[in-house]
Amino acid sequence: MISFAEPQTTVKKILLVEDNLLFRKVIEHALLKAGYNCVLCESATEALNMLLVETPDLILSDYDMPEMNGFDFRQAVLLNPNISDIPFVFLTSFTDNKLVLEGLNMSALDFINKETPIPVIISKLNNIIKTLENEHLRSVRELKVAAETLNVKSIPTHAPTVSGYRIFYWHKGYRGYPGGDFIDFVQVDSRFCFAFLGDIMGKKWKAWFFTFGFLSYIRAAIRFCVLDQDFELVTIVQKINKLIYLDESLQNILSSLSLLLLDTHTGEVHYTGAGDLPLVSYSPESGNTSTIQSTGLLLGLLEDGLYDKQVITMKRGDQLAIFTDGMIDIPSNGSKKSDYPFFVEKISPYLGKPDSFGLIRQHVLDLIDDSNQMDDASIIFIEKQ
Amino acid sequence: MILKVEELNRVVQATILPEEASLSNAEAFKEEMITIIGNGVRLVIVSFENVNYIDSSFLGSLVVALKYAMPRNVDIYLVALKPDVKNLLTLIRMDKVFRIFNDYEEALGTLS
Repeated sequence: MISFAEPQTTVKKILLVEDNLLFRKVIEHALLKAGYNCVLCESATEALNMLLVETPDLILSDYDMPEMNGFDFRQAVLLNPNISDIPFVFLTSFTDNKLVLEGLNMSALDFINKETPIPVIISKLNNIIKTLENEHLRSVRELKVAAETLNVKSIPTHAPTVSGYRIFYWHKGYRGYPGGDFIDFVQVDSRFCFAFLGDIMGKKWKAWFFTFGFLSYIRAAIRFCVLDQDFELVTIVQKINKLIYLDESLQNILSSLSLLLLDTHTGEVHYTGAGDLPLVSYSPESGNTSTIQSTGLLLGLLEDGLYDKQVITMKRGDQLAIFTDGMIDIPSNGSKKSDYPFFVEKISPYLGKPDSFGLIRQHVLDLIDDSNQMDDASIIFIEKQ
Repeated sequence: MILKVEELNRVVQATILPEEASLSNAEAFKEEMITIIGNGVRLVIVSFENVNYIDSSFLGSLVVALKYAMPRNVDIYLVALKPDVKNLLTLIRMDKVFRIFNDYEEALGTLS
C-alpha cells in the first residue's frame, strides 16, 4: 500500500483579466466573498507577465480589451505549455453566437455573459472548479491503484528488525502526491543491514516515476557487492553512480543518497552520502548533537562523484538521523526558505530521550502539513540499544 | 522569460528574475540555459541576486545545464547568492561543481 493522503482542498486562486475598473472590483468582491483568492490584471499583457510567476486555478477573461483582446490572449496562453492547461473562462458582454462559438472552440470551458447575475456567475465557476477537482481526484486514485497493482513502492511498509538497533522512518509526500523521495532497507544477513534514503530532483509524478529505476539500481549495486563480499560503501556508491551516470534514460535525472551500513557485530555504522544533507548524530555521553558531512556529489552528476566513507562507532543510546531536503524547507514571511540548522535545532531537544523518535514525530513531524510543506520529506532515525 | 540576459565577448550574464526558483519555473530555466549554452558562448554567469528560495527541481535544472555545458567547454559560474541559498548549495556540495563568486565583477575578474 502506498501511503499518501488525498490532495488537500486549498483556497483556489482565480486570475481575472478585465480592463474595466468597476467591473473588475465587482467581480473581485464577489469572488473573495465566495472564498476564492483573486489576482487582478487590467490587460492581457499584464496577465501574461503575471502567469510567469503565478499559477492560478482558473483564468477568467474579458473579450473586449484594448491592445490584446481576449481571443488573442487565449491563443497566447494556449501556445505556452506551462500554462495552457489552466482552465479558461470568458466573461464578456459580447454574446454574438458566432463569437461565443469561436471562444468555446479555443478550449474555453465557458463563455459567460456579463449580464448574468453575479451569484449565477459564481455558481458556474464553483461548478467548473468542483468538476475539475473531482476529475483530478479520480485520476490520482486510478494511478494509485495502478501503482499498487504493479507493486511498486518507493517507501517500505515497515522498518527491519536489526539486533542491537532500533530503526524508525517517516515520510510525507509533497501535498499528498507520491514524489521523488525514496526510503529502503536491505537486510543482508543477521550481521549487516543497509538503510538508505534519497531525493530524486523534481516533484510529483515526474520524480516518482524515476524513483523505481533508481531504487532498482541501488538495490542491485548493493546486492552485487554483497555477493562479492564487498561491504565497502565507497565502492557501492561509486557503482550506483556509474550505473546512473551511464544510463541514457536517466541522463537528466539526478538524485541525492544517504547510505548507511549497520554492523551488528562491531556496533559501527558506516555512512556515505551523495549530495545529501549532513547526518545528525547525538551522543548521550557527551550530550552533544553533531553533524557529519560527506564529500560525495549527487548521483549521476559526474563520472567520479568524489565519494568518501565515515565510520560512526555507536555506543548504547547513541542516535543518528538522515533526512531529505523537504525536512528543512519552511515557510518564512509568506515565501520559502531552506534552513538546515533550524531543523537540527528543532529536533535537538528530543534527542537522548527514552522515546526520542516518538517525541520528534509528535512535536516536529506531525506538525508538517499541507500549509507548511514545501517538498517531499523523509527521515530515517537509528538508535543503538 | 526566467532569465535576463546580457552578452559581451561570448560571456553571458544571466540574472534569474523570480524570487522563488522552484518547480514552476525550473523547466523554463533549463531550456533558456540550454539555448544560451548552445549559442557558442564560453561562460555563463548566473546571478541569484533575486532568489530567496531554491528547491530541488530547480537545482536539478541547474545541474542538467552544467552537464550540457561541460562537453561543450562552456563554464557556468554562480554569483550573488543570498546566505540561505548559498548555505543549501554548500551543504549538498554544489560548490564543488560550480565556481561561486560574490558578484559579476568578481566573476569577470577571473577572466583576464
